Amino acid sequence: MVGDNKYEISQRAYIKIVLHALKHQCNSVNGVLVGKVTGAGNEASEEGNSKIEIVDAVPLFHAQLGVLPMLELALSQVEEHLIADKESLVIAGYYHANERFDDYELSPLARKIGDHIARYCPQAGVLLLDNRLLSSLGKGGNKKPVVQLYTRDSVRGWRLGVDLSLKEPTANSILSDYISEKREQLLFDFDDHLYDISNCCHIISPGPAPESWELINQYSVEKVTNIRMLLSFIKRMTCY
Amino acid sequence: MVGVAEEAELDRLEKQVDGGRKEDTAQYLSLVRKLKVRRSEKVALHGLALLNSPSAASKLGDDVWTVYEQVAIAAMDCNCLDVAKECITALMKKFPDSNRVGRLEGMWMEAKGYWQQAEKVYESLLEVNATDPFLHKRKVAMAKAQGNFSGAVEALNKYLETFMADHDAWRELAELYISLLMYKQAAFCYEELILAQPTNALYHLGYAELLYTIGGLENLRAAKKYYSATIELSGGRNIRALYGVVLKVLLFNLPFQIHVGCLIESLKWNFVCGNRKVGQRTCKAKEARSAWKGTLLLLGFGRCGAAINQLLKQTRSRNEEESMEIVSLASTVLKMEYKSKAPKKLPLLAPLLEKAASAS
Repeated sequence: MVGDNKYEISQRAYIKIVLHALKHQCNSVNGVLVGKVTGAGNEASEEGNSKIEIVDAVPLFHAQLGVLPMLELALSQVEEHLIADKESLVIAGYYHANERFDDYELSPLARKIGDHIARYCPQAGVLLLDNRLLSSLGKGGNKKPVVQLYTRDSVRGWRLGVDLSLKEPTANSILSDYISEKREQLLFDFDDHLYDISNCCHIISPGPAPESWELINQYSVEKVTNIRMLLSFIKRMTCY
Repeated sequence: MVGVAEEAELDRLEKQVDGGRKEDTAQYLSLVRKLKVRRSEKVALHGLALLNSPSAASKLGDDVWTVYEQVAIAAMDCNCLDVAKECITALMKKFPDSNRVGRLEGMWMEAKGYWQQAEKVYESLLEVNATDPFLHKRKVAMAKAQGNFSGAVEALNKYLETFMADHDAWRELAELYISLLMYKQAAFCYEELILAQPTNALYHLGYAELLYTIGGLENLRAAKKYYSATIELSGGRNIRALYGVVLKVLLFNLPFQIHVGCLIESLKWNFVCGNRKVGQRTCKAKEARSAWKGTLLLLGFGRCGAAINQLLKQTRSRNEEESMEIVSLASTVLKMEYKSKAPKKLPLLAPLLEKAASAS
């Protein structure tokens, strides 16, 4: 059963996903997940007790998610990078964050892209940012990841899964710190890269956590705890 | 849409204001208003500091009310609704029966989530000012915020029947259609935009991307033309368009069977073929099953075969000439850009460009 697959997400991938979403609060954002699939039995089969380790995330777009050319280009570049990297990582999933705060459903676009990725990696998972959990992040003590996992069933399509764990238990507290330090400004996605190619995407091979991200802005802002909640109204302010 | 120079100026002012130079706040806020960018956190923070400082506020003169409005909207964007309410109250005292302040009230109710009350406010304002575009747009925004995309599309279509010169609205409609995966309708919106502003590179780019997404040989050919137009209008600086041209060539290198099948579909009613019904029937065969079967049927009829082959050769040779030149130029520009700005990423690019070079 697909439900027996275990998904584990590294701190690096997890933090990147959330920071990407926070950098572009007015838009939906997406990206691919890169990782390893290990497990007993046939790797190509959906069934069996596979373990999917999500090692890194590649932030892709924050504008015009639904158009194809740049998505194809991005996926081919990610694949080229993974082949050259020789760490035997694959594109193991896709992540998406919806535009509106109270939108907790996986959109048709996310499902389509997830289907495409699942053709190459049947155990691929889709992560959807959960704004409620993100809002409660600042209250501390929350060990659950702030993303929902969706897994693919050949019969019923994408369904909410439960087997997602954080590899490092300190991920949420580090994430809170990074949010208060506004480190999302240091993150560039593929859209930013296409806008100015000197903005390089963070396609990084596995390694220690990115402590080398330097704070470029020392401006101190009051510690904002429920960022997504506080900025939720952005979602409703369109057409201004 | 903001130009590079203007954005640089805005970032410079923002850094100075962040760094403590309060005297630049007014200039920063006015540039944000002019460029219509959405930097709500900064605007709310610095704008509020400006309004709370009596000396700075008095220097603004009458502009202070515009700043109140700007800060109110920015505060609503950051969910600081108390701050927003204070600004709106101040504005209401100064301008008691104003349409603009009424609009702000409606927006505040939207922020709170009181949709029906906001609706009532807008309706009552529309009774007085039926042609206020902002009120119509707020109704579209409300529908979108509540997740009612089809309602938003309907309202926006109705708005555009009256205000068809509103480019931002056409763009918003295109984005709504894209999020609903209705690409053909989104392409129509971009067509309107291109007709209205044929020299705007970004509209050509958006249209090209939509054509690519919709697919089909005709559309891909058209997409390539629009990508080329974008390159021309942007002076060769638009990386997406350069990539777009290169990607097209890879798609043109389809297997022969599919190529012919697609051609047949696109030349549906233009067969150099005596029997039109034959053409139609074989088209249906091609649509239903693989292109190869369609081709065989056609060739079996003999008369069409030679004509099709001839057409194929002609279009192929035209394509090849065009493709070679544009693609090699685009590849060269991309390589140069990457070498100068992001040399580490050049290895990712090389396989794609090689494939494109060999395909053309």
